[in-house]
Amino acid sequence: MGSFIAGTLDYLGLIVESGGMIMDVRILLTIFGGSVMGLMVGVIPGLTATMALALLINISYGMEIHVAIAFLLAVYVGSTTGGLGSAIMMNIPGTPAAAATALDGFPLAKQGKGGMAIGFGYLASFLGTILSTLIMLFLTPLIYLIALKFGHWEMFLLALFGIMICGSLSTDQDPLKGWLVGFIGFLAAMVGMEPIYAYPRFTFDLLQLNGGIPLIPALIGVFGISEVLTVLQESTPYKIEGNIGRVIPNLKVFRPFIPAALRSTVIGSIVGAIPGAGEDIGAWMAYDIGRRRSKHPELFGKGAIEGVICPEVANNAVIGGAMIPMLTLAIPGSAPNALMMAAMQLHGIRPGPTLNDETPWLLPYVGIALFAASLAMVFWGFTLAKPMIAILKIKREILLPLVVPLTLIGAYAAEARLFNIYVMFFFGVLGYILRRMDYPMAPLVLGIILGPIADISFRRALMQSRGAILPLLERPIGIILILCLLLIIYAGVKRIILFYRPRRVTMTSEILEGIGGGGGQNAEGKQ
Amino acid sequence: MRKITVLAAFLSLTLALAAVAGEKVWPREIPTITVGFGPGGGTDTAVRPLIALMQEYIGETINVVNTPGASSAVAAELVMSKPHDGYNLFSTGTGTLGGFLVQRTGPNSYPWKWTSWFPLQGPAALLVNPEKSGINTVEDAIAKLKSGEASVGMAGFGNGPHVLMETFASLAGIKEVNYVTFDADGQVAVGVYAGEVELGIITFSAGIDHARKGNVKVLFLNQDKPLKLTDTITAPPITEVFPAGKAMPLLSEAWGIMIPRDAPKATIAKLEEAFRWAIKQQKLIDFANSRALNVVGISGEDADKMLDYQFSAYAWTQYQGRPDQNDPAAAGLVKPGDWNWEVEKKKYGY
Repeated sequence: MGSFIAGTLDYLGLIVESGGMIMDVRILLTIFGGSVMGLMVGVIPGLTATMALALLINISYGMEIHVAIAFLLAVYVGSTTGGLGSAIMMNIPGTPAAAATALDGFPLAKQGKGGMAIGFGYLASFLGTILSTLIMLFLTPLIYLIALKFGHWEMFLLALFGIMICGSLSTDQDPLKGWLVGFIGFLAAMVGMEPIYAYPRFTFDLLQLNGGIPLIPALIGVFGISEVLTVLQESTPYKIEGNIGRVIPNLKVFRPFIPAALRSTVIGSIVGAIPGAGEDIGAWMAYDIGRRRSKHPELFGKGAIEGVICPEVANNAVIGGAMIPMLTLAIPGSAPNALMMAAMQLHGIRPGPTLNDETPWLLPYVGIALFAASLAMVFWGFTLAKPMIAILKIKREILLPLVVPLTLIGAYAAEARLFNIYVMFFFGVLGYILRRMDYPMAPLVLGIILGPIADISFRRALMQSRGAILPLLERPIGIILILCLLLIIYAGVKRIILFYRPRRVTMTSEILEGIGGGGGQNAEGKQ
Repeated sequence: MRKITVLAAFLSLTLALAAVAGEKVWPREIPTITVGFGPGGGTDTAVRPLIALMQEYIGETINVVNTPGASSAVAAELVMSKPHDGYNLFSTGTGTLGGFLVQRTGPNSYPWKWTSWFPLQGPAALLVNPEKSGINTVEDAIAKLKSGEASVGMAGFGNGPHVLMETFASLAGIKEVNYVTFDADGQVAVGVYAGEVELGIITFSAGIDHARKGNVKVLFLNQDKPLKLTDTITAPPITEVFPAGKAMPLLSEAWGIMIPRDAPKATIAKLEEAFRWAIKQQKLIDFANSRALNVVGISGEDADKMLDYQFSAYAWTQYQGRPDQNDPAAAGLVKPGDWNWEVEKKKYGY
């Protein structure tokens, strides 16, 4: 007991010491600089946190280790948050993680509440980062144990859960459409050399397809190009109404949503701690649970502030969660984390199981740096929100064609490959056709992201159980996930039946009419 | 007159800047290195510090993308399918390329298609978590593998550690090993620790910290000397704990970066310059020491030679383990005993 108290006191001492180090003017300036750079990259569709870090990481190599870590964390937090602006104001999420935010953010912007939505988005992102950092600082051993329980089978179920949940939530009434689109994305993800034996699937002997469908160009096509095509063919494009309004959120309005924010933090942190799961699953899961637990679930999808808060808290909470496997197991939870880990290794720090013995200051320092990065992010977010909204409020017919070159840059930049531009346009046209037929877009992208995870995890789980399903069904976390999946399917099927019932009545009446020689009334009472 | 002077000055400046820009041979844009295994794996951890130093030298960001799949064949074929303009590079371990042939996974990516640089080299290890698996010794492992009660985690079919595991199984009389793949060696180590698989065969550098911490136990290292990890933990060499292991090929894998051989010469020269500078940096030496790796700094003809030999050795070792695969002889590959660099050089046009 004595050693536990002494250890705790030492740890608290390190946190206080880290707080003192962050107050160094050099480090503070670096954090504010990194944060604004990250925000600017994040707002451009297709330029993700990974790209921001890849672009800026070599600046950090010349820095002293404490400065470098603070700088990279500030870029990471800024770029993860930046995606919300374009999701809310243009319905073009900067990253897949911001796709759930667009569901309610964009309707809010159309109602003239874009400023409020962005303000709450930044506040939610701030809280998500801060609270998940607290979890990282004080509950790492617990989260670490949960993360260790996620094997291949659980990863498969989690990926499937992500696709189903997104499909179910992104349509008002008919989840069937969402699921169909989700599995079209899943099918697209099967293109390329399969990752265990490298057999080419659906590549039609095209070498370019061997590596599969590149995600970022597909994302930009589905969200960006299809939006531009949709607006261009409208005779009177929609406008973002009203004044920008108040950006700084009213805390009284926020108060009822505190439980939702706390819940979304826990979801984001746990999802973040599972390597490979990522911000997108975190955001969709938080959105789903937020809607189920909300006092006004009927407002979700139509402009509910809670629908912006839940995914934004969760996708930022993933940051704190993802630090746990990286720092304790040397397994980066995401691509940006891999870059962070490389930078640390080059500075002579070895994240992993021996971290506490060799570099005990690192975990508390990362925590405090994340605090400071969140403060910088929220400062820049609120300061730059009005000018950013003013730009994004430009008439759609002028703004969206201007977005096209940006999308081209985004699609080309990650791999410098012309093929990616073709992929972007293909998915843009596909997205446009699906939009015209009233199919949701987000499940398509989530299918592409999670399809490969589901595919390889399922096959690896079968390798583990030597081809038998039954042993897999005995895994406790797997059982919980299967129950959640069944719940989603049950609720979805119920909605599908409700959605199609009136039409069936109409058809039945029409058939009866035909038999009786006509003259009767149809289900809507019209002759 | 003043306007003309200003205009002339502006034009001269523009032309001068254009000339300076024109002189910059490579890189004019951001190069991308596609790593064939997941983040945190043996290859990923070995090459990222090198890449970081190389980008410091060339003064340009190098984008690193992880594309795991089929022991890096997916990444290799992807890089080969992109323009050979000096901006698309590949990264893997030397042991994987034999699998490209035997497993028929990378027909466009054999060693003679690449120019390579290898900074670090290190051994493979067989890991176990005694608490979760009930395996404490090599004998226990062999018994459980023979009875089919144990699975072995690894980062992909045909990579260096997999080939060594096949050789070990063949020497130990194990008919068939049940493998479970992971994205990277680091994840295999965590999988062993968490009890997802009973054993794990990995590039040791990716799991060394788990062994130091006692999360996993090293049953053997594929080298001829023991390695002291802490005051109380020593990783034994295979020859000490498994006498038949003397017949194991002590093929230490090396990890590096590769570029299609027909990439511009100026790019290859610049990369060579950056590589030579990077391997002398104390940061890389310290990193290698902490990971039980050796800084070898192999490039040019030496790299071609090593890659070609390991290609032959790993392909044949793997084929002898499971002859139902692509026959190296049919593909014209000589056995390691008959291997002769001068002949190979002419044959494949290195």
